[in-house]
Formats: sequence, C-alpha cells, structure tokens
Amino acid sequence: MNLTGSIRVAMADYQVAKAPAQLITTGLGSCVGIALYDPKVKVAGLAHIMLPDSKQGLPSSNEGKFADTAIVALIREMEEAGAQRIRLQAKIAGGAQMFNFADHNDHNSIGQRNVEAVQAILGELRIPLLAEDTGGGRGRTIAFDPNSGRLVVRTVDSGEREL
Amino acid sequence: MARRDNLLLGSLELDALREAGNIGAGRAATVLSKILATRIEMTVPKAQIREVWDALELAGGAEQLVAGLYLRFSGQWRGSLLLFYSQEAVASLLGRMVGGQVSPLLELNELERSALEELGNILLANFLAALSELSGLYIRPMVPTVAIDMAGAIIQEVMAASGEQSDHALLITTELVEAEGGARGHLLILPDARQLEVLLEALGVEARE
Repeated sequence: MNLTGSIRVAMADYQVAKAPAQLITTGLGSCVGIALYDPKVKVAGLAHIMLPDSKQGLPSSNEGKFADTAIVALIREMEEAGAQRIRLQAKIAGGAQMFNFADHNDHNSIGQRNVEAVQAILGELRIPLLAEDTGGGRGRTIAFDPNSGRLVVRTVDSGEREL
Repeated sequence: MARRDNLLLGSLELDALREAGNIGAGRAATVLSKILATRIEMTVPKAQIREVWDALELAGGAEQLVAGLYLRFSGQWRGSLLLFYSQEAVASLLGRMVGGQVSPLLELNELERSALEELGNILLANFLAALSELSGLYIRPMVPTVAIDMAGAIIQEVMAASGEQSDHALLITTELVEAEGGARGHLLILPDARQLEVLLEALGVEARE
C-alpha cells in the first residue's frame, strides 16, 4: 500500500479526495469503512463509521460516527467536489468481531449491525455495492485509489487483498 | 444526574482518578510479581478524558500488532478495562508463566493463549477489587477475553461497545513494567456513559458541572 499522497480518515470521520490522492483508514475493527466513488470524475469519499444508527443513544453532533448520518454527509461533500449521486458506486470493508465472549449471548455484534446498516442505507439510496470484505475476526486497514477505483484491504495475518 | 458529554475534569478529579488507578495498578502488580516470581512495577502517569476517537493514538500506532486483554465489568460501576501488550512483552511474560520457547503472537497455541487469558483475568480482576475497596462500589468483573490484532482495531471495537451512548472516554494509562524482562503494558479504563461521575462521587470528589 502506497502511503504517499494519501489522506487519512480518522475514526468517526469522513474525507473526500480526487485522483491521484488516496484515501486511507487504519485499524477498522467493528467499524466499517465505506468508499464511495464517481468513476467519471474520479472523485472518491471514505467514511469510517463506528455505530449503525444516529437515532439510538444520546444525541451526538458528530455526523461521521454513525452509518446513517455519515453516508449522507459524505455524499453531500462529494457532490460539492463534482461527483453526481446517480453515478456513485460503493465498496465497503470492516465489521469484524475480534473479541468472543463466553458469557455473551448477543450474536448480533456491533460489527454485524454496522455492516447491515450500511448495506440497507446504500440500498435505499440506490448506490450499487460493488464489493465488500466484511465480518470475520480480523481488524483491517484499507486504502482507496480514486484513479483505479480499487480498494486494498490489509490484515495482520493474510496480507493484502484487492476489491 | 447531569449529562457530562462536555465534561472537563479539574485537577482534583484527575488526581483522585490517578490515585485510584495507582492503587488498582499496585494491587495487580503485587499479584503479578508473585505469579512470575519477579518484581513488577506499575505506574499511572496519566488520567485524562479523551474523545473516543482520539484514544486511538494512545495505542502506539493503529496498525501495531498487540495482544489486547479485554474485561467488561458491571454492578454499581460499569465499563471496560483494556490491557495492551506488545509481542515482546507477551513473549517475556509467557516465557515466565509456561516456560520454553513462546510462539509468535499470531501463532499462540492453546496453552499460551489460555495462560495469557488467565494472566489478564488475574491482573484486571485484582485491579477492580482494589478499586472496589477504595470506592465502596460493588464491581462485578465478567469473563475476560483476548484478541491479537492491530491495536487500533482492538481499541476501536472496545470503544464502540462502551461508547455507544457517549463520545468521551476516561483513559487512565497505566504502565506495567517488569523489572527484569522489561515487559510493558498499557491499561485503559473505559467507564460506560455517565459512569465516570458514579466513581468520582464514590471517591468523595464532586465533579464540576
């Protein structure tokens, strides 16, 4: 993964980039990285969401924290950068569960709920989900290249794979 | 109880938390010293309130491979403890506990993994026991679990679990230093939403509005 010329997306944050800059986010655990991409103008956005739904829990001013608010905010910013919603495509990664509790009966882990929420929101917005690498028990670092539209996913034990 | 999403702790509160952290860490160090038959020192250099996502930096790099020992606790005080060890620290600690050549972190066998889990259980449960005595709060530790992965991914999963209703976390960074082997760990305390004032009140410190 080439880190030069890359824009880092922090947890609960989102960023927009144009080729040749890359978008990168490190250490996705149960969080989900959502890469949106307009192939015509090569404008991309990457969100690192933490939780599925802004309407649950205490009110938060941080749009980037939740799947529902982050995707909407990301699209808005991408449109300002010249992308068109009708052309957007998505690739996602993350939503792992690294800790397994013997006394924990909640099968529906936060990671899984995050992935399901993102899939549902993309479906509602009619943004095609071209590829995903989700679930499992490993943390992921991801990088999106707006030039090629490729999402590279890295884990600690199985190297890199490309979506 | 007032919402404390924008809580800024004064030096009095931070001192109380640091002291509580020191007492808990001291107890854990004593127990670990006995198990490993070596001297363990624990220090609590920092107690601070951080935005949840800022805490990632404290892991020493989000992509660093670490062993994370995670323990949820409930009762009159609720939250999570997370203890990080580097690959070198795990090798040193397990070498003393189970003896012989220790496998690389990503290839720990069943025995090594359960020894690590047991170590975490003893350390974290003793930390909580000392905190419970100090505060008078009944604290019930749950079964601890181990994850070996990128530090950022581990801390983030724990924060998602405890930060579901809050944007802030109390991080008491504790260093656990083994006198001979030099194994250093970092302990993070993550009270659930609105649980920080429960502890402060029990410690006899009134948090400011």
